[in-house]
Amino acid sequence: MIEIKDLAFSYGNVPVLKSITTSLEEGRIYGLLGENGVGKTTLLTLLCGLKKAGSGSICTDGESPFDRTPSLLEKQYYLPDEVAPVAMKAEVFAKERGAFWPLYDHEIFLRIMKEFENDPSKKMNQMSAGQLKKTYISFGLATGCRYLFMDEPTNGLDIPSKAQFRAAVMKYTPEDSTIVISTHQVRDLENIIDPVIILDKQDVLLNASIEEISEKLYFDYGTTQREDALYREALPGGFLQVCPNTGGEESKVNIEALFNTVHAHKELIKGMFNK
Amino acid sequence: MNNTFNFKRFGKYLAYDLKSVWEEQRVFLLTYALIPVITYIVIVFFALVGHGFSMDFSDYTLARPSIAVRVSVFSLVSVIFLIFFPSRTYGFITDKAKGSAWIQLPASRLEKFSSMMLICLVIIPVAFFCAYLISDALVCLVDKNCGSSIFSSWNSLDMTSYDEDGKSFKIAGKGIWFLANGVLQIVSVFLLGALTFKKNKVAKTILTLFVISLVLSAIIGLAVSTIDIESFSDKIQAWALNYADNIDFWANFWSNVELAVIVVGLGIWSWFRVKNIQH
Repeated sequence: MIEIKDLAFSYGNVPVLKSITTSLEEGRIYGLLGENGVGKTTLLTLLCGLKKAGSGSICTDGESPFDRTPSLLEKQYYLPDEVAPVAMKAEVFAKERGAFWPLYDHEIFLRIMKEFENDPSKKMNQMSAGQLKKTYISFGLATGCRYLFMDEPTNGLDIPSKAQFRAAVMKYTPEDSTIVISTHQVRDLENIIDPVIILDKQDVLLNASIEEISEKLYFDYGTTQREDALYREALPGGFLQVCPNTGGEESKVNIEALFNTVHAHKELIKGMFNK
Repeated sequence: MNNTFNFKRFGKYLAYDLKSVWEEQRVFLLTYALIPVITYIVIVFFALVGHGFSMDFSDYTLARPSIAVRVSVFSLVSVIFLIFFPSRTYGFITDKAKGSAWIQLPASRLEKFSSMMLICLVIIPVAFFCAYLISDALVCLVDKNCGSSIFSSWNSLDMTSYDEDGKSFKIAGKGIWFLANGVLQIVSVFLLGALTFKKNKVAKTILTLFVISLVLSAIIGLAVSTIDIESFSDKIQAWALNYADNIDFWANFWSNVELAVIVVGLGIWSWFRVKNIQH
């Protein structure tokens, strides 16, 4: 479990995160959403120990990630948005590097590479950006880590690969793992992320499960405009509207609409979910 | 689990690190190490093309690999190699993508740092000198005008100084020590530069050294201007006479202290840089 308490971080005099308190539980795939520059990547790099918190603390299984202890590094993997093209064959790179993660399974790496239709015998510095990303995704999933942090993992992936990515995440991550995926491509990951974390400038606007969201908000895909709609979007042949769920009805959560609703009614949503 | 230092994990990491360095730097290392062969081939080529053509520079004739030419080339190539290899080998640590991957590898900071120091201060310089000497030996096998080996030539150098009475004392004995001293100092400085600067690592390190030497010269100049030089030099002379029998020992002692302070100081600085680097 990851516990974040009063976390703050600044780049020089520019504050990025301010007093963030939340916890990330095991067995969940968190979707980390937010506008450009709100600190999604910063939060991910703080979670995996690449940056030191300005104040406050992060505690992962009782350890601070910035201590970079082997015992914690063995349990986590961070996939950055930009990955390094190494002058090695993918299978050699994975085998040699994987030896440092006790749960790394080379067979799983090769299997995911095959599912991605990616050639493991190809040199990584000769791969396209998408192929390189798929190699790192395959490696990350094959490490069997409990904590997996991914920054824009679907960037650069072609359409079939996005579906393969979703399938691989569901299939190859341990049940008790905590996965945090930062993304702008919510539609790519809509079906797998739960809960959703929405970051605003320096703050967490929402950290709630899909079940909790659908309990409190109703996503109406009808043809008539509702007066109580917090957010409305025209769709072909009707509207997508987000309203307070006063009747306890069930609906399918649309994450993009949720994001826009949260941003349009920050205080209302915070009050609604912090009750 | 020992999170500070585990010998088994260190061995595994060192092997991984060495292999990565070899994969990335072998062409660079071998190119520099093969300079005697390359130079010799170029000289022979020009000699053949020019029908006995030789390049004369005062006392040196480059038409044949004399010991003077070989030692000069060796010194120049070694200095250039030692200046550039730390940034080529570990400069990636300041790069966002590669540096992040390095930090995330499950080994302790001390293990990664120890491996880096061992590779930079010992393994690569030794491998380079061995490869260079083999390359030089190959030239000497072909051309009998070589003279003695570079190694024995360096080893026979002694850093002897003479005082006014003609008495001599040796600073740190043999030239091989002088070579090791130079290697440790150059590599320590340029490794720290590689870990500190994000771009133009070598140029910025040289510029920093230049600024530091200017500042130190100014400080020393100011300090000297405030003291009575004559009485100070009398004191030094008196001290030297007092310890005349042990002057070799003291000269060596202070040289070693200077080396230790520089290398350990730069090592500690590099350690804190590696320990606290953020991406």
